[in-house]
Order: sequence, then structure tokens, then C-alpha cells
Amino acid sequence: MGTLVLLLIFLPFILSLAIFFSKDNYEKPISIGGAIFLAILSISAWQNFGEPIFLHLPLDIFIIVADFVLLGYFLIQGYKKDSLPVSLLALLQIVMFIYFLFIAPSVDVGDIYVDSLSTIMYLLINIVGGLIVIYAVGYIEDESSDKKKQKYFLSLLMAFLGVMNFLVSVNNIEWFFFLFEVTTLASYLLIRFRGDSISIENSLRALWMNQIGGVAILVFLIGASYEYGTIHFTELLKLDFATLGLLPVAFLAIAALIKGAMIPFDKWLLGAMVAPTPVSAILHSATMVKIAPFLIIKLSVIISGTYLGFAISFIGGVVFVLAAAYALSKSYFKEILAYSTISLLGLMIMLGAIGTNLALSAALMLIVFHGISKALLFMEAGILEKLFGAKTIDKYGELIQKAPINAMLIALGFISVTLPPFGAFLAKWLALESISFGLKDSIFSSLFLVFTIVGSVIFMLLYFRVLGAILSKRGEDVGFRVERYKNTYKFSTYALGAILLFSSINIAPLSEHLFSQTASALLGEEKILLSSGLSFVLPFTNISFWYILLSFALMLSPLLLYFFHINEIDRTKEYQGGERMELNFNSYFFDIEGAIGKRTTQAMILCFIAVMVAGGLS
Amino acid sequence: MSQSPLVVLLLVIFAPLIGGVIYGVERVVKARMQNRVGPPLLQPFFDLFKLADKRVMSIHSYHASLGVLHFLAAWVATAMILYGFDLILVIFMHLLSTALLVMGAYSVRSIYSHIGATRELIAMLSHEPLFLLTGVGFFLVYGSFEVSSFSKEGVTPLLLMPLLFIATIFAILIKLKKSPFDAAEAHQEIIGGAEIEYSGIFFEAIYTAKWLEYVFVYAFVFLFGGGSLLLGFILCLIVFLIVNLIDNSTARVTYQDMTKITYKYIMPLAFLNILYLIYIG
Repeated sequence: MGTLVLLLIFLPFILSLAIFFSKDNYEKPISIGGAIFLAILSISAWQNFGEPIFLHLPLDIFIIVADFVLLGYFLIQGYKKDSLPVSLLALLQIVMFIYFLFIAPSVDVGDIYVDSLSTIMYLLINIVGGLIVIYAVGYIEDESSDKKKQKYFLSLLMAFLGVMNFLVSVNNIEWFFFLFEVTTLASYLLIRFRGDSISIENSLRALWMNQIGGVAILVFLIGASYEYGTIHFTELLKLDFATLGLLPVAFLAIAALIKGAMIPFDKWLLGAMVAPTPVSAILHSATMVKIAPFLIIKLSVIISGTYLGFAISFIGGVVFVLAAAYALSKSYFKEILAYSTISLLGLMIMLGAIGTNLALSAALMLIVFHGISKALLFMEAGILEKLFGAKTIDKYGELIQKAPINAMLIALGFISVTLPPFGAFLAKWLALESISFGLKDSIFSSLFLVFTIVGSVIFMLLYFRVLGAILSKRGEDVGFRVERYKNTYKFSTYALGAILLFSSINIAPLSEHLFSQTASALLGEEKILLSSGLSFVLPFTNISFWYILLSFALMLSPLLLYFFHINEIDRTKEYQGGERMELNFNSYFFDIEGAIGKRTTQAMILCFIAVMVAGGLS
Repeated sequence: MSQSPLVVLLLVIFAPLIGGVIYGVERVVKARMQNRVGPPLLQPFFDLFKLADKRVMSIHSYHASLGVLHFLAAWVATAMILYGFDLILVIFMHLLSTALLVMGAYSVRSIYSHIGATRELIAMLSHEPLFLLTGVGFFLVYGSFEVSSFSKEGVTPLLLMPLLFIATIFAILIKLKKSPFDAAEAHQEIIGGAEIEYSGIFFEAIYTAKWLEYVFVYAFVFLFGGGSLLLGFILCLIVFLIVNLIDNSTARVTYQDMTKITYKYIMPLAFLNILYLIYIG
């Protein structure tokens, strides 16, 4: 197991170097082979996982040096690009980091700690991330003709997988800080890859916003050194916070909220998504932002049931509703996806901070299945941009005639986020029922209940609006032209689609052995969510296999029926109110952000302050 | 509630017919409220046969088959509530059936259909949270989400969740597109909305799906009676009369006002009731 973990962490870096220095066209086989190998490694890590393990790595000095190099790089970038916030924040971090080094506690605990939460993250990072790398191999050829630049891009992606693998297995929060900053760097480099003015602007915004997260972690590190005398996740869990207070932890949580792009920090992720490079969009939504719920879940044992936990859940819940509502007012496809990502991150964070066994299971389920669905949707957005230059959803109308395969995959992506029996739907369902289950323990949960309900319904509204546009049809006998596109695109999107379909049928055993197992291990409790065969068994309800099968058929038939023709009946034209000309009309637009955006930003800033206050109180 | 499997099976099979009769009664009651004689009780069925006789026309097969699928999903949702599945899943299945109608409406190039579909979605935004909150209310009363285990000695949900009962009536008004919340079909304005492009045998599917909605919502109301059949029926009757009275005596509000009313007044009411249930639990 230890070897597997080390391979997962360090192999991507080696591959990354190999790609960067490869000759001729060797970067392609290395990337594709490496991505597949990493995915296999992550599966075997999950299968071989027994008990949580600690590892010692002699990297302390390296990490400190690298930290300074990194912060120095940010400082220089801020100076070069004339961005005051970037350089100021970098400077502040350098000062704080030096201060921290003087007071850093020395505890002899393994710096690497791999538990089943890490193995789930490995699966997500390496399978979804690996497919993104394969997708990128084809994508980057279209993007840039410069061979050097292509290799640079691919090696960047590969190294990013390593950073993510590293990040989800660290125990030492000083290291976590470093890796957090490296992901910030990765965002910065990926977003500005194209080098035009929008990309640069977005990348700088991502940089300074995420650096606030870095500052928050440093506040934690300094606070923890004084208050707790330890900076390791596993040691933190042993402390008695009733006497020590949670103020430092609140700052760590704020770092998570910023990485998770909770409003008012939503703009950085939005910038990353809208930036021209779709690959960076995919990486951000499918893997990087998952750091946020990951961190909250790691802390959930500490924060759940406290004022701090409540404040964080509150932010998550509000963002779940607000971001979904904002998404309604967007017509740019990637913006819709971005806001729905932020919205679901809110839900994950809310569930993580609630921290009951079932809530954690639901949060983990969402992390994984949202990652798969969103990766698929963003890949499709990229493909459609390449094929048709279509970016807004009014251009997606009748898409299925032009690109049946891609339209089907988009529809599958949307369906898999909203409808039964797909993982994301069942996670929302589980969220609702687990919150209801906990209502009697804490009256605050009733608020979360309302957030979950309203948010889920807005989601339905959002996705069916887009789905309706994509699947519309001009008349009976429209010809289909099966689109031609690259094999790497096909491979990655088909694989994600297949994973979605497979996991929807097997959702019950998967949930038990992957998510419920992990949630119980984190809490040290018995499993609550169980499966029998393909059915769910819960203390307050069951979902029978028949329901799963039936809803599976009902969900997929709207897609297949598209190609079904009833012959020998007469066709007619739509009713046009007596007009002779053809009216073309759509109404997809609800301007919610325009109406409430300003006020909510202010309110959300207050909520962030409330997190700190709550941390001080509890 | 636990009935014998045979009764449930028969109820499920004949659900559309039962719904048709309810619709027939409704038309008579409505007419009497307006001092009209009204159509015969079985008029909906006569309409059904008449529709079957019409020339079969459709815009395209996809649109038509989504209509049929809407009907099937509505039937499945009704079957699920009668068989006693998890109430939240039932409500989501019911939501899905509406979503299929909406997809059908978006699939054609008709402005009325599109406006109707959008309004249908907004209506969904208004009534679905109310149904879901009521579902949670039942959970708080019974400690289970499964409709089949919704009975407990000496417990009458109506007495514990009166405000949720009112919320349910509003949800039903919106769901069944009764005045004042009938903006989604608004005949005078958008000529039927999402249903406009269906005709003949395909409209039949939409038409009977509506009957199924009746069975669904009244089965939902029935749950408020707890284990008691009599109380359940009385409640259904009362709700039926209230719904028709309101339908007959109010003027349509815009869909914006509909969302405002539900979110400003009805949701807080429902929420208060949830708090009360937590408090006494």
C-alpha cells in the first residue's frame, strides 16, 4: 500500500518531466499510457486499502525552500503584471511564513496519512483527471501549433495530478499549505495559458483570491502553533476543542471556502471556466475545487455540531440556492456549468460541516459523481466549441440534429446530475433525508432542509431548460449527420458516460462500500447506509432495486426516443396564432443575479465574518 | 397505510379511470357552483372516445412520444405512492413526469408551447418545495419516509401538521393548474401552454395524465388522515370542495405573483409547522 501511495504521488511528476523533455511525438503515448496507468493504480490503491497508514518522507527542508520559491514567484508575477493585491498578499504570506517557521511545533507524526477518504479522492483525481489528460492530448493539438507549448501544457496537467494526489494524502498542514499554494499556481498557469488579455486578467484574479486562502491557512498555522501545539490533521482530532477554542480552525475552513469559490469568491472560478481553455475548466470543476469539501470533511469531526460548523453549513446552504439561481440568469454554457458547480460545492460543504454519518456519505457521493458529470459536460462544451463554435445555449438549440452523439452525452451529463437513479440525484435525496433524520437533534438543521429542497428544485428548473433546448427538433424528417471528431475526445467522453451508466445501476453497493464505508470510518461508527443486492437499506426507508431499474429505463428513454419514428400518421405544423410567418422565440432568461447580486455579495461577506466570530465563540 | 396487495394493484390499474371519474365529478360540481347544469358525470370519458376518433396528427414523433412518456411517469408516480414507496422519491418521480411534459413542450418550435413550458417550470419551483416539506413533515410524525409505514396508533397527521395541510392545498392548486394559479396553461392567454401542440390520440395521453394527477394529489391528501380510511376520505372531499371553490371564485395571478405568494407566505407557514413538529418531537 505504501508503495502504491508513493507511486501515485511521485509518478505523475516523473511522467510530467518525461513529457516535457520527450522527443518528437512521444509526449502523446506517455501522457495516454501514464494516465491509464495512474487510473489503474488508484483502483488498486482502493482495493488494497486496509487500515489507514502513516508514512514519513524526508521532505521538510525541500518544502520550506519550495514554499519560498513559490511565494517569491507570486511576488514577481504581481510586480510584473502590475497587480497590487497579488504582490501584497505574496509579501504578507512570506512574512507570516517566516514568523511561523520560528514558532513551528515539532511533533513526530507521519507527514503522510492515507485513509479511505484519500483513496476515494485518488479514484476521482486519477480516473477523471486521467481522462481529462487523454482529452487534453487531442485538445492541445488544435489549441496551439507550437510543439513546445503543447508539451508544456500536458506536463503541467500531469504534474497537477501529482499535486492533487499529494494534497489529499498529507497529514502535516504546513505541507498542505504548500500544496494548496501549488494548486493556486496551477490555476494561475492553466488559466493564463492562452496569454490573451482576458486570460491574464482572470488568472490574476484567481491568484489573489486564492492567496487570501493561503493567508487564512497561515493564520491557522500560527494560531495552531500557539493554541494547539500541533499542525497535523490526525493530532488535531485528538484535542479537546471545548477548552482550546476553534478560532484557528475557522481560518482553515475559510481557506476551504475560498478554494470552493463560495460567493463572494465565486468570480475566480467563473474566470477559470470562462477562460478560453476548456481543459482548465474541466480540471477546476472536476478535481481542484473538490479540495474545499475534502478539507471540510476532514475537519467535520471537529466542527460538526459547533457554532462554527453551523456557520459553514449556512454559507454552503445559501450558496447552494444562490448559485443555482444565478446560473438561471446565464446563457453562456460554461457559465451555467460554473455556477452549478459552485452551487453543488455549496451543498457538499454544507453536508460536510453537518457531519453526520449519512450527511458525509452524501457529501462524498456528490464529490465523486459531480466530478464525473461535470467533467463530461465541460468536455462536451469544449468539443462543441471546437466543432461549431457554439458557446451560448441559444446556439445549442436543435443541437441533436447537428451532433447527435455529443447531444446525447450532454443530455446524459445533465440527467446524471438531476435525476434518479444517478449518484448525484441520490446524493441529494440522501442529503434531504439525512437532514430530516437529524432534525430532532438540532433545530438549525431545519434551515438546511429548506436550502436543500429549494436548491434541488431550482436545479431541476435549470437543467430542464437547457435540456429542452438541446433536444428540440425541427420536424419529423430531419437528417442526422453523425459528427466526426477526435478519438481522444471520444475515448474520454465515452468512458465517462459508461462510468455514469454503470454506477447508476450499481449505485447501492457502490454507496455502501465506497461512501458509507468511508463516512463511517471517519466517524468511527457503524455503517448506516447499507445495501442488499442492488437495493438500498436505510433505517428509515428503503429503495428497492425495482425503483432503480424502472427509473433508469424512464430516464434514458427520452434520449433514445429521439431516434424513434411513428410512421403513417400525418404531420402538422406548430400553431402560430394565425401568423403566416414563422415565429422564433425562446425564453430562457431569468435575471436573478442582476436583481439581487449586489446585496447578496454584501450579505455573504458578513457570513464570512460570522464564520470567524463563530470560530471564536466555539 | 397497509392494504391488501390485490386492492392496491386494482387501484393502480384503474387509477386513470378513477381520476377520470374525479374529473367528471369536478366538472359537475364546478357547474353547480356557477348555477349551471353542467355536463354528465362521464363526460371526460366521452371526450376520451371522441379524441380517439380524431385524425392522428403530430408535429413529430419525439414530441408525441414524450407526451406518452409523461403519462407513463405520472402513472408510475401514482403507483409508487399507492404501493407505499419512499415519499421523497415519489415526489421526485412526480416531478419528473412534469419535467417530461416540459421537455416535450420545448421540443417543438411553438411560442405558446415554450412560454407554457417555462411557466410550468416556474410552477414546479412553487409547488414542489411545498410537497417536499410536507413529506418531511410526515417523516417527523412517523419516523419513516416510506408511505407503507405511515400509520401509528393514536396519531392523526392532520392535527399535527395543520399548516402543512394548508400548504398542500396551495401546492395542489398550483399542481392542478387551478385558478388563481393557472398561469401555466392560461387558455385565454397562451392557449393551453405546454399542451397546445398535442392532438388526437396523443393529447389523450396528456389528458389522462391529468386524471392521474388527481389520483396522485388526493392520495397525498389521504395521507393526512393517518390510518383512518374515513377521515382520509373526508379530507379528500373537503380539499376537493375547497379547491373547486377557490378555482371558481378567484382571478388568475401572474406567475411572478404565484412564486411570491408561495415563497413569502406559504413556505414560511410550512416551515413553522416543521419547527412545531421538531419541537413536540
